[in-house]
Amino acid sequence: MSEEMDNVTAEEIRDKHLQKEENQNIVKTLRGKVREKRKNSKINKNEKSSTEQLTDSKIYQRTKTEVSLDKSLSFFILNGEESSALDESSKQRPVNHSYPKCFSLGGNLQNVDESEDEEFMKEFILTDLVKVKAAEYEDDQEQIKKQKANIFVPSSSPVVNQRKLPKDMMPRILEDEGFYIQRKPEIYKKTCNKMENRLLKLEEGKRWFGESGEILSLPTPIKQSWNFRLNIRKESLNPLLKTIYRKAVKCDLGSLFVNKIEGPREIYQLDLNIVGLQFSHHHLFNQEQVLCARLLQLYECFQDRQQQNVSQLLYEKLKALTDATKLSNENSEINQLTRKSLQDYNWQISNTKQLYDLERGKDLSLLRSILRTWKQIKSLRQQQGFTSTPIKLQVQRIKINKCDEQEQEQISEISETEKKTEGKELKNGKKERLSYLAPDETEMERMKQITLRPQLSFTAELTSLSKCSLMLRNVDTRGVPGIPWLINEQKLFEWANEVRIDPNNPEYSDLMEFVMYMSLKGQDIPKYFRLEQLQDEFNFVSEEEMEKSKRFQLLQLRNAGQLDNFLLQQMPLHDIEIPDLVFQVRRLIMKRIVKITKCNLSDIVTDYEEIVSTSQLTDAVFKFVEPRRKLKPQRKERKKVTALTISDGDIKILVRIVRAYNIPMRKTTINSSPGHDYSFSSLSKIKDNIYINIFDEMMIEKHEISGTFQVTIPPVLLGYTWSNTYVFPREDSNEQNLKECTFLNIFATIEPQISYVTYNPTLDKFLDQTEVLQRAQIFKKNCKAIFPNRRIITTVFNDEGIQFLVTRYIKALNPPQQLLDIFLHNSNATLDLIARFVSLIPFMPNTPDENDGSDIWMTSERCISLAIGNKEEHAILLCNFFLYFGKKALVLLGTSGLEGHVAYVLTQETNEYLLWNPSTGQCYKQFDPFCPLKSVDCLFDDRNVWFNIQQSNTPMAVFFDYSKESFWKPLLPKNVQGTKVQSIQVTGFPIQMPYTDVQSVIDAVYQTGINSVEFPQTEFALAVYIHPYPNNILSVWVYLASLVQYQ
Amino acid sequence: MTTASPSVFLLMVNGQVESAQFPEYDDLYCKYCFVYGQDWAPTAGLEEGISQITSKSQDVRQALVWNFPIDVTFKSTNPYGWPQIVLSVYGPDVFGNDVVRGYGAVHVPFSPGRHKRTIPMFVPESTSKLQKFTSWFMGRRPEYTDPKVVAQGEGREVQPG
Repeated sequence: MSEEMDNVTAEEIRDKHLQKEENQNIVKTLRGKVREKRKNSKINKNEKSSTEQLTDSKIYQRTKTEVSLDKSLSFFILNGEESSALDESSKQRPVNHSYPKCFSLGGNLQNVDESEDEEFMKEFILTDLVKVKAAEYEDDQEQIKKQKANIFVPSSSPVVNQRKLPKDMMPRILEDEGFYIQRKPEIYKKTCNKMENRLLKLEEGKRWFGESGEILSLPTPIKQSWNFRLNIRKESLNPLLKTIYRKAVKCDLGSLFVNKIEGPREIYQLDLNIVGLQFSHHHLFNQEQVLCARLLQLYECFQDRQQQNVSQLLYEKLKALTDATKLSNENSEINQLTRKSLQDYNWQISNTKQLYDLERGKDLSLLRSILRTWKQIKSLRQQQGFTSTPIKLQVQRIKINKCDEQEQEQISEISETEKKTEGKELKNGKKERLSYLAPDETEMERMKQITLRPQLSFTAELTSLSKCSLMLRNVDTRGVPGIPWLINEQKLFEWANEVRIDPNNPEYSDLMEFVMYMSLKGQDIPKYFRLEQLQDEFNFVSEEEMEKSKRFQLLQLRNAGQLDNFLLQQMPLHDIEIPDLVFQVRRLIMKRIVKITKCNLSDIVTDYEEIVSTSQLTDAVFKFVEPRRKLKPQRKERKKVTALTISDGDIKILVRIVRAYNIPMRKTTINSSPGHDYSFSSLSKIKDNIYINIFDEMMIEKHEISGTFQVTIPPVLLGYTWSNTYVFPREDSNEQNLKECTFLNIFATIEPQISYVTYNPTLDKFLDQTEVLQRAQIFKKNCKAIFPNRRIITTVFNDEGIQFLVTRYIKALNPPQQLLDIFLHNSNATLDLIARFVSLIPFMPNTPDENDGSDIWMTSERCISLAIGNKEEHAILLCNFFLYFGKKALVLLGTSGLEGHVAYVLTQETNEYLLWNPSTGQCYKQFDPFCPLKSVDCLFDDRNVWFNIQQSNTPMAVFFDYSKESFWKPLLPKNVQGTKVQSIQVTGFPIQMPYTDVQSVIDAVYQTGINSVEFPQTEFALAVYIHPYPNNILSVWVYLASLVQYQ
Repeated sequence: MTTASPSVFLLMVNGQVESAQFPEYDDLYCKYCFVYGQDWAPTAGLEEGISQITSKSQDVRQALVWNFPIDVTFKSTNPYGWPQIVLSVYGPDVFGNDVVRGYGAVHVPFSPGRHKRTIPMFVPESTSKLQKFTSWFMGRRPEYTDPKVVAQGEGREVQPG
């Protein structure tokens, strides 16, 4: 196109574009003009007709131009060419009317409507001025041809197979032949066709095509390995059909030979498809299979013989011979020649007969053995009760058809005639012949074709597997597969052992197998089942040695969590390296109960602060909007940091003294006090340390301490006086106390805030848990469910590791007499003294198991004798002392602002309750604002345990009337208290009897049956007293009692 | 008592955190540490390390290559508590917050020689949808306070209620 465009001048193109729209009009007008001219002008007809043709063709072409621009352009160009050619001629010749019109098509068509003169003028001028030249043009067809020479456009039509493959070769589709062909990547058929067409153009393009006529391509690359998918189904694979791998052996000789013969070696492939293997014998065959194989063999033999049909041939021969003899016999004159031939015949007859007999005999015996075998199979099947082979034999008795019968008759006739001849010959006295033919009579009778035709088929019904289970026992009893006839296996085995047969003798292979089998069977297989049967191999040393090993002991102890104090970080590798000291230390460590510590989810995973509901979310949003009062700062909740992530030195303690009460004043008289000198020099001399007593580590739980505390001050404070003007908040405290108490309102916290590690103790089940203990556990669980933060202890372990109800610890205890003697008349002072005494008993260092629920409490007696105890033991001791005075005293469990978990003693006075702190010996009233007790959670005495279920648990708000169940939830219901708590039932009686001998006493004791109590953990008491009387008369008293733990 | 020179055996670990595959994330760095039993103690080398931030390779593999060396020696008296290497991978989320992208642990190979280990990684998830959203929004995904828990058994029990 573009080339064409170049050829045509720009003007022309513009014009043509204009013309295109006017084409229709122009065509019409042209047509009209031409017709006009045809009528009017009397000019040369030839030329005229030519123009007519021209215009006609033009018109025809014009119509086409509407369709494509190319055509129209080419037309115009063509037109221009022609017209210019004509024009050139017109210069030489007188101008014709029609010419300008033709030309005007190439030039300006507007002139068409103008008068001919003007037209002519213009044309003339135009031709003068403008040189009209034919546009250089190339036919597009030619163009295409040219392009075709260089450009190849592959067609997307499918390629015929013949073109792709070598000559006279059919495409071979391997898939159809049963080969496994990997799936090839999917390609559009069109693309593939194009590629094929492209390849065919190449010189050696055919290389790209495979035998199937498709482009050689690799399987889809998505799959990484080229795996042959073998269709192996487990159930179908008989274990007997396991293949044995044999390495392929190259026959070198052959290849050498081939190499010599032909230079270029070609590789041929031999595909073998082994459909199946049929065993004629196998050592795993059962009897039936063996027989079956035999039958098959016989039958095959029989069929072979049938095919050869030797007997038939012989029979025919015999017949021919007898015919010949008959014929020769009929010739009455017996010359020498015939005689000789007859003799020869006879000899031959007898010979063939012999052969025939032999063959027949063979046939018969074969048939007989077939039948016998079949019978054996049948009887075997019946005997064993199942069928394991599909073989079936049918014997057909073939009726000899008539023609055969006739023949038979003929033969019999022959025999008759022979008889006759015999008779004749007998007369002739030819004994030889007689001797030949004598047996014939009987022979010929039998000389029939075998009429029994066995037919073997594999249609017998196999016993289904479901029935086999029953039958298998039969197989088992049958014994060795190879030797089915054995009955007494044991005897044979013994015999084989005695005789010492050569094991390598092939004759005895069956027997050897049997011996092997028997010896295997005789091996004792353990009757028990071991889960870890390989354990023996891992027992490097005996158990005793293991126990003796110090290292192992240590490891065991560590695993049990009883080696906290063990200083060695690493377990020494050798026993020698373990110091004996470790064990001594270990013995001192109190026996602990193994417990499981659990971590909370929040300890492990940090998450954005937990948002449970949308209201919390809105709360969080509102917090942002809330107006801030900078002058009234509020304490904000800070983010908790788990203790795990914090290293030493990260934690700071922030203490803010909010307010202080009753601070002792410095005496003004002393002027030399350094405190008055606030000069820099004296201030710089101050070296005092600031002591802040953090009372209890457990305070972490609250994250912050805030409250009023009494400051422990030295009893005698030199140089300081108490201010008298201060009105002490404790109105009812006595003067001394008022004067000498200092209080600080402190807010203390730690930075950053550390989340308190809480334990959720889940005690292991204790086998000896009685009903009461179970009840206590349930009670505790229920209480924890209501108020998870309140303390409740119902059961504890004593120092022997036995679980007890806490109530068992409460029992009135006699305080030391010395204490009682001091204030004989002031009971209050005595109580204070006792409290002071208890507070002086040293406290056990904080044990980590204090708050994990498995407390170990010692009894008060033990506590006082050891002179050590924990907080609870102190409280119990104090409570027990108070009980001695007849006071109503209970142990109170709660938390203190100072000490964390504490146990107080609650005593009930006439109109108030008193709280005793056993660790300091101080006594607080219930409404004492300076009482450090922050919560009252649980109470217990010798009869019951009460859990605080009131809304508030601060001591001031608590009702201490524990008889009200709406405030205090009791562990044991009221009505059963008396009997239930009595957890030991005593039964027993005294026996009085005269003494005869020890045995009779023992018998008497046994007869009571007191020893046959079935309850576990029953204790017995026995006391014997013998009262002497004169003359060796003795009275025996036996007191027997059984102490049954209450069930 | 020969406590002066207690006999121990040594375990030397040389290697590197080569690369990671995190198809969804980019610009990640990793942290490694070791978890070992009571009888084990590091004697030489670095027990912990934080790698550089790496970007995805521009090829098909899209691998995040760190080639971050590890070299540590342990001494021990007991194979119990064999060291485990704990890897945790971090990277920025949509808002540019540094969030955890994976935790994983594997035992240090038991046999000498060259070993290559691929560690599957995981992150804890928020329990509720709302929390998931807020944690996504605030850029504070749930993470382990101590990545070492992935190699430990403590606190993995199923808790009733």
